[in-house]
Amino acid sequence: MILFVLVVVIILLIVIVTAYIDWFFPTPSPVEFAKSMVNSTGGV
Amino acid sequence: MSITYAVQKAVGVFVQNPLMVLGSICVDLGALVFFGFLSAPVYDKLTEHGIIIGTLISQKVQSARGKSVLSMLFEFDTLGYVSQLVVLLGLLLFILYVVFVVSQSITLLLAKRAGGEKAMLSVEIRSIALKSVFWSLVLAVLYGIYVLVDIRALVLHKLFPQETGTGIVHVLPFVTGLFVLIAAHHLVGGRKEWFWRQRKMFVMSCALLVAVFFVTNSLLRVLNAVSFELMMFGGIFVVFPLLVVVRLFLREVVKSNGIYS
Repeated sequence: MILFVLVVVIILLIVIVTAYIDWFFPTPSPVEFAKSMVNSTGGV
Repeated sequence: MSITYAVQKAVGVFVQNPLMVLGSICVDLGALVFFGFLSAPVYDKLTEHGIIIGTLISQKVQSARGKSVLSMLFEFDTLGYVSQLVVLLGLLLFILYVVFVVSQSITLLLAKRAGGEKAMLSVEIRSIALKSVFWSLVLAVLYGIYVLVDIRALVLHKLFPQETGTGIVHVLPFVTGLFVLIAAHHLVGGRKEWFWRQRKMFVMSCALLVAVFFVTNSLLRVLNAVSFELMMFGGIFVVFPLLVVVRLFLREVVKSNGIYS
């Protein structure tokens, strides 16, 4: 019984992590990233 | 027990248990779709991280000469993305592991019960989960070697475009294939003693599986040449039932000497 509960909990955790992946692994938006690149290279 | 008897027994069980066959196909197909849904956002994130790291590194290469790409990966602004990339790769492997363990436990349980054996789902999950830890590590090491070989080939091709690949490129698929065959026998219940005592049976079983894989692959290629939809249709209606027969066959093969789990 404990094993089945463990499997269900693991699957639920995976579903939650993949559904909210932007929250767990944040990346800048393309516009923000392009702005930071332009700033770091001095406009080139 | 001979190979022909194992084939006859597997086909017999397959024909006599249409509900088991349908259940196994549904579980295999469901696992594939479920893995697709779960892995798609992770693949997207991996691509995003790859693009960001690639852009940052190419910018660094232009400004800092004499530094290796490896050292640039561990600099302050790239390290965060690189560590996230490693965690994402681990997450992808973990999703594959969980989906594989759950789906294969259920299908092996169905195969064992259809073959007249007593089996419990909790025992199957525990057994496949433990065995899969070892094979996941082997898979990770092989994948790492593939990546290193690819990078080496890329660098060599840039430096010496006229040179062709080295031997390791041709050997790796055979090594991977051998590991897959051993893992397939091990996961359905083959024990260490069985591999040694029944080596003739193991070799014949592997030869038959390779031949079946070769014929199926050729058939799908022919269907793909006609149309992609036909290949998809043929893939679902040929490959999934074939997986059920192969599972039943492997179970009969590992049961041949009474040494199985």
